[in-house]
Amino acid sequence: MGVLLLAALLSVSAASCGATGSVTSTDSGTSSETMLSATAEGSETGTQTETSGEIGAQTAAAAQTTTQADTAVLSSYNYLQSAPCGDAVDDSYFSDAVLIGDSRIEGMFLYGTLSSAVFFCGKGATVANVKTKVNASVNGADMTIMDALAQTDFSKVYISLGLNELGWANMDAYQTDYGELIDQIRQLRPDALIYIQDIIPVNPEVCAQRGQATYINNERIAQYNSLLYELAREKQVILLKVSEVFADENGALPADDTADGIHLNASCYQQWCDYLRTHTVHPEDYSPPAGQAPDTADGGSDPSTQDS
Amino acid sequence: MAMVLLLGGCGEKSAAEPFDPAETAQALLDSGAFTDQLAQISNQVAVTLYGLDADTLSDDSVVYVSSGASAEELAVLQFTDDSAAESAVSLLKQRVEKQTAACQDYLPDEILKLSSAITEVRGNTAVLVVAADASAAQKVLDGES
Repeated sequence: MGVLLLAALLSVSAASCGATGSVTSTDSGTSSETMLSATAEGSETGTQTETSGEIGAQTAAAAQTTTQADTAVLSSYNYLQSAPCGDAVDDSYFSDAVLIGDSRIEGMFLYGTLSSAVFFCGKGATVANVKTKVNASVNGADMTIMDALAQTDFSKVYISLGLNELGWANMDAYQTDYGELIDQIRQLRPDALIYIQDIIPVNPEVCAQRGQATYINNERIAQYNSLLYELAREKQVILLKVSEVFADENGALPADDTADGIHLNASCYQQWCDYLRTHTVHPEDYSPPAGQAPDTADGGSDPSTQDS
Repeated sequence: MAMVLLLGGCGEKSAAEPFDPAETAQALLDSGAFTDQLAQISNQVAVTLYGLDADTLSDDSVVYVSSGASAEELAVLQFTDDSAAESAVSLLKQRVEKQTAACQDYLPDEILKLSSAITEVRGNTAVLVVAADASAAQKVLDGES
């Protein structure tokens, strides 16, 4: 009963969010089902409900009117769904945020509206080379993204990586290396909110016209995103399904939104930033899973035969 | 004497005159030198992008960069004084070097454009152009088109 009430409350809240139109409705339509299954999964493993007691949903006001049983359900955050849609936060939310990623995040730095955030990003960035490729700068000194994170005080980090890994022979290495990246960030800043953004689709026709590598396709992206969603659940980090903002009825990036099939036109970044503003969790409602020590790196795997 | 005076009144710009940021940027965009869709970025972003001194950069500066599909870009920067413009040129050249390193594996077709990058200083203004057709861009800067 309490779960059904929660689902109804989330539906009302999400439908009034408005930032992502029909996508919001889709989220609210599936979130109740997924919440039920996630809760069941948490009950089976005994980990999610034990460790996520302090995580709150966006409908905090509604939660105050729920029963104690409902509160227990509310505290089980659904890591397989995108962060709940709510009122847009103001720019101060991003004043202690770092966005790390590849050339698409570079585009957000150039054309986006998150002026208070810090960006460590660059062409060719991958989950593997964040420790080796010089793609960041702190106080005028060029360095790797991981080194830049170590020298920066942040409370939130947004990760957007995966496009340049589409050509990897070992797809699972993406999930492994991404997991290690999350662990390393948690070692640096144990209390930081970690958001992971899924991979935005490409436009296949424009990609073909521009002679893009054939492994850059939406089928491949969907496979990588599946790994990402599982990683969000495993590592209990906040998932952001920004792909849904830019996918047309065929699941592709509209041709009008890209010059080369891959990179977003400048006009798209306002929409992306608006999504980030309306899909947040509040630090005071969230604390990282208690007692979760970072996974020990077990050597990972040799990921790449070809970077794009 | 009259003929000299008439010629002097023709209105051609002196090569030493500082660039007009808006006028020069538009002329470059209209020249056909670029093949990519460039979009303007704010001066705040340009300061971070190039490592500029925000206190010396004029609000009239104009910068256009690619969304990521290429290394093409143009910057027509105006500063409070000539020495600030001179200092900025080295930063613009560093930008070209960084882009070259970044594009080596990622966008190898852009290396040729970067190798033909134009950087110039005139008075209190500095220009960077990375274009598909550097000669067309140079004609604009030289006032020939």
